[in-house]
Amino acid sequence: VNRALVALFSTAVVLIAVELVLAARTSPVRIDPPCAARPLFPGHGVDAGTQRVVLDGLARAACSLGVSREALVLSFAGSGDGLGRPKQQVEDAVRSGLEDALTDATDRGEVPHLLAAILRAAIEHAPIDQLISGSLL
Amino acid sequence: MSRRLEVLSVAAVVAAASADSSIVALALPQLYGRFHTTVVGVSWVLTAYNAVVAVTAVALLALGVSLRGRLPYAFGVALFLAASAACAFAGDLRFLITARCVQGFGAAFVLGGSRQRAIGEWTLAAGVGVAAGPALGGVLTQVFDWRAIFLLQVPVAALGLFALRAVPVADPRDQPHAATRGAIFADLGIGLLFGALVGALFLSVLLLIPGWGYSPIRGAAIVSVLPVASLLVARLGRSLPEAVATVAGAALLALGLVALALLPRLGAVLPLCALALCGAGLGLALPVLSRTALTGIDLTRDTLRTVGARHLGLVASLALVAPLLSGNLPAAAGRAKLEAAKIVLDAPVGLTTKIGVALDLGRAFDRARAGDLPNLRQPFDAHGAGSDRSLAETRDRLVGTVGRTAAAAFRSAFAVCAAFAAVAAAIAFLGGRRRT
Repeated sequence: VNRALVALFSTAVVLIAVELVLAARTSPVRIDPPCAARPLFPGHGVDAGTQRVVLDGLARAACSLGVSREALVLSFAGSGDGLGRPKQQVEDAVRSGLEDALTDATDRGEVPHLLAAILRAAIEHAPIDQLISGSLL
Repeated sequence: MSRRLEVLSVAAVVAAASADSSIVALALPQLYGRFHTTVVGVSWVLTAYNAVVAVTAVALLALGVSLRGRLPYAFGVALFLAASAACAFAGDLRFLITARCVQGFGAAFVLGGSRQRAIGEWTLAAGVGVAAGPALGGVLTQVFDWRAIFLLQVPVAALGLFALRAVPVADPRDQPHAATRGAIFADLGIGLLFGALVGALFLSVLLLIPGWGYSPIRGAAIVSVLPVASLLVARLGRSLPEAVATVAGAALLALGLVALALLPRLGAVLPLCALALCGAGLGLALPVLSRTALTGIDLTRDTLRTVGARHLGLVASLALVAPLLSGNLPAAAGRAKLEAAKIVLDAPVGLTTKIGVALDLGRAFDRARAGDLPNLRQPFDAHGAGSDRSLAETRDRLVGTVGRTAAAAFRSAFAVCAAFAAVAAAIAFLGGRRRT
């Protein structure tokens, strides 16, 4: 048996085994179903609080539309293939989701009532694509 | 022109015609972008050339056309030269593919007409061409443009035209002779191995450069390990019984392609190792098969048959893997965008940074859709990933995830190429057992 040949085949087997182990160890990024429960964005302060409201609001909107949160965001960023739903329906879902998220954040004491009133007005009246594109994507 | 320079010039043309696919493969990512085409569309740049070489070789063989003397070679080089210039100035994909067909027609006459003047010299020329091909293609594409690859072929062909004296008028050994069963099986094996080579060259280049965002030179450096490994095992191949070298070589090539199919993450090391195995496999099997196919009795017909088999293998494989890959890529791109969106949304970084990175990433994806090479690191680096650990971790996670998704899209295509090599190994094994 030729040693060099054995070494080459051993290398091949080890390489494939290493790849399989690395693949098994890698945790894939899983796109959650539309209404999956997800932890709130962690952290303290205005920045983290704002992100909690926006992300929670988007998740609620995605749930009501029956699409993933990521697909919803991409549809606003212009990098997605669209959601196949009327624009007004999407806007209503996002406004409603953001309002509910803001209410919950206010109830948790994370957003002062005065700021909450200002944000609520923005959610109700600002163009939705600017609201999302300007605040998150 | 000295005799030695003339021989070298003809060898250079043979090398350019033989190694065409390994050089042009490096231009495919750029062509994909510039001509706003699909994977199937860009694959025709390779397929057209190889299909015409194969069909012309088989037709010349079937018609019994004599390629003796210097005229067929001169005709082939002249066509190759003109078509190379046309390729370099192609304004659209249709023109480029048409010019590639003419180039392939000329190449068939060059390869058949040069007739392995001395098998060793021309095989060496082809080997050097294949070895230098990826590096040359990568450097030319990155430093200049894809057009430089074809422009370079013009002076090479011109030199070959001026060195006609180096082409033999006749070969005294060239006696009409029916192909032996061994030679036919060897050609079948060569065709299958070249079909498998599509995975190691075409697919690897597409995965590394547009898929993983590596520069053409970096991609070329990785792919160049294939011909280097092939040359390094040449001595080992000579020390093995022919049947063992063929079976082991084809099996190693299959395993290398399986390793490419299973790439679990970004990074140069794993593809380097996998491509080195592919190269070692080719280096063990191909010389034995070439020696068996080129019996030395009827070089003209033997050469045409081998050239036809080699290029038919490439075409058959390209015809299978290009649509497969083209079908997988849109879904993979959609999945990669969703994964990237999730990573950015959940990233533990400030809102302002997140917005800036997300907008730049959206633009990078749009540019990638328009054909440019996606640089997913740049948006993070531009927003301070160098000093922000969280942002750097987010960048690495996103780039790694997109890379894994891209690699997964190539999996079935690599598997098809591995099957080509596995069939070659099985045929060689059964052939070896029958002989014993």
